[in-house]
Amino acid sequence: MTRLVNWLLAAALLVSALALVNSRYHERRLFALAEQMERQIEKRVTEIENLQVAVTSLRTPGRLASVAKDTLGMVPITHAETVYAPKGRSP
Amino acid sequence: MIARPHFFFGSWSASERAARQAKAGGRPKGGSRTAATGRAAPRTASAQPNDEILTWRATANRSKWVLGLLTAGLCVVWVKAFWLQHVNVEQWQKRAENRFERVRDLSAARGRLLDRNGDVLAVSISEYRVGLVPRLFDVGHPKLSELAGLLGLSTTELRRRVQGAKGFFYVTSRLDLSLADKVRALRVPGVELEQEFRRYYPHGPAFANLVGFTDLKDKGQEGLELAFDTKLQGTPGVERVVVDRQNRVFDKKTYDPANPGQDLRLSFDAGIQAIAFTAAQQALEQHQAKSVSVVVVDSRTGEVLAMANAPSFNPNERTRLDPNRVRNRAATDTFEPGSTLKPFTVAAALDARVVSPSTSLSTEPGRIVIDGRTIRDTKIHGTLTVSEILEKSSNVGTIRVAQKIARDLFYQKLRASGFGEPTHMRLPAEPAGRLRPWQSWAAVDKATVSFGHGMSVSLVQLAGAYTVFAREGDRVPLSLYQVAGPVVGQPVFTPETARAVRRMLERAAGPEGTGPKARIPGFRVAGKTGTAHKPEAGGYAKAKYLSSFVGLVPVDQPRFVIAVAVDEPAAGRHFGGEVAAPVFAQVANESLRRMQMSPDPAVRVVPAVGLVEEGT
Repeated sequence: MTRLVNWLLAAALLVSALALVNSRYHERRLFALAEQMERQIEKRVTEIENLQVAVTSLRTPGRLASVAKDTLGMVPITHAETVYAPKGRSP
Repeated sequence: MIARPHFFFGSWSASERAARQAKAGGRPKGGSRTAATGRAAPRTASAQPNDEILTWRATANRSKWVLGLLTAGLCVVWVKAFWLQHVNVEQWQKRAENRFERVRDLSAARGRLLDRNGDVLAVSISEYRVGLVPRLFDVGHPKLSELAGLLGLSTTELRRRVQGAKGFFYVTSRLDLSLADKVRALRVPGVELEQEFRRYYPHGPAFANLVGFTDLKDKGQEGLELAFDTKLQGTPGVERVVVDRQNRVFDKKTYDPANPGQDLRLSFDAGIQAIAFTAAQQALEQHQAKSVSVVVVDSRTGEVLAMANAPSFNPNERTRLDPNRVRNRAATDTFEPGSTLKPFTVAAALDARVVSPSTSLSTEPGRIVIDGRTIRDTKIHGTLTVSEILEKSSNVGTIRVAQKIARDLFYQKLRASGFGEPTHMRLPAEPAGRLRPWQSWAAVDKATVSFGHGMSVSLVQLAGAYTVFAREGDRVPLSLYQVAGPVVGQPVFTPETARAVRRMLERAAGPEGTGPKARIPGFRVAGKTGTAHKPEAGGYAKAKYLSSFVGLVPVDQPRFVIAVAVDEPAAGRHFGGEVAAPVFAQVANESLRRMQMSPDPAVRVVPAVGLVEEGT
């Protein structure tokens, strides 16, 4: 009986040792994968930031004014083009 | 002794050999002692045990040696193991760590500067710098031309620089993310990429002298970048990682993350700033002035909405910086305010109840002599009421009003309005302005100060002081941050005085006043012109002027205080009403339209196309 138990324990020891090796291997593999993902996230975040900056510089008031005036031929509203309405009544 | 199998090869081989010789009966090769006894063996059987003993003795000695050697070897291993495990542990651990651990610096981005609506005014962009290690770099690498193309160099140029270099050097910087990825993908040995941050200012020159800039080490050098440097700067982090033989990270030991700098949301409105900057630039060209500054303040909260200066510079292309373009003149330069100070003299007199708006005073004969100095009006106005004195901007009339107020009271009201002390906005190099204490005033000093000479202010100070009239006589501190809700200020004048001066200022900007060009259709404006000779060594320059206008709109519910200063207009005209007032009108008109503000209740404006949000 004791002999059987010993054998079983020895087998369990062997299995757990192998499992440990296996899990260490996977730990390293997954860590490398996580690192890679993190780098990608960082890269995308930077890309988003750069694009946001690009959008900001494209919509600065100075640029919009010149585009509106030169490309689209828009003019500022003058006082003469403004309709007056007494309070409480729509035009 | 009985022959039995031994564990030592010597005895095995000896008995084996003896058996083999017994079978074959042949003469063995060699002439050793063992062989000699072997030959005699078949003849005398009794001699065999004796021979075995001899064999055993001979080999036993040798095997003892072997055993001793092996034991000694084992001992050496044990001692070494003990040594490594228990003596000098730290040193060995360190050596192992050095081999497999890497310390990686984690760079922290500088915080962004944002305007009140979240528009980016300054941001750090992540870029890459490429360095070359000539020792590892092979100029004959098959991908050399590809690499040179990515770095924006010719192959010969790259080769020349590598061969000319003694050690590591940076070949190029400001490489964007996608290019850096391509360079990395080439896997050319000796090429190293380093992350760096570059400060980028999307609004360019419009905000340049207000926001300032940073140096190569990402430290603030000028303007807001310098003022808020400690808040904007992040703290870099560090991590220790474990790498394998191919330098691949497989574990993290310690991790101290980088803390990026704080984002700062400021009180400025990029739209209004653009309006102010455009107006300043146009005025600069039109009047061939040395400089033009515009400040816009929200009088309800004291928030500074815009602070623009022309000429300016492009903060993204700073090869040569002209200090005259870098300075934020609106905050750092002081000037004699001239007539724009008169409302404070009148307000002090009204507050002391020594005059009323309808009190009549004679300005005949258009000049006044105090302590031997003659002060003149531009023309003879005759008898004027206090209200008309401000409307016509009479120097003599203002002096007559000032003569009715005590010096200390006048001084105290000026100080309470913010003159003679910095605004505490934390802008770099902000001056206090000059206002001598009343104890050292001669009679002529009170007279000159009353119409804004013999003292100096910055444009920001002047704009801040005018919030007193835009409000109910109380002054709110100017702020570069957003301020929530209505603010209660420090009382300077009574509400009645503030309202009376506001009415006078409206007349000053009216058809009979000095600043009719400040008027804008649809809104009522109030404001005061100023034209001051610029002080020079030993007196005043004859043909150098500083023209200014400070006003508030809309008069019914004042929202903006706009101050304009035009330094040395040189295109013929120099009066504040002709030079600075139109700039005010342009800025006020466009700012009100941008804010979609409803005009005064008497004339509600609704655009012909599109609807206006109410109550903004």
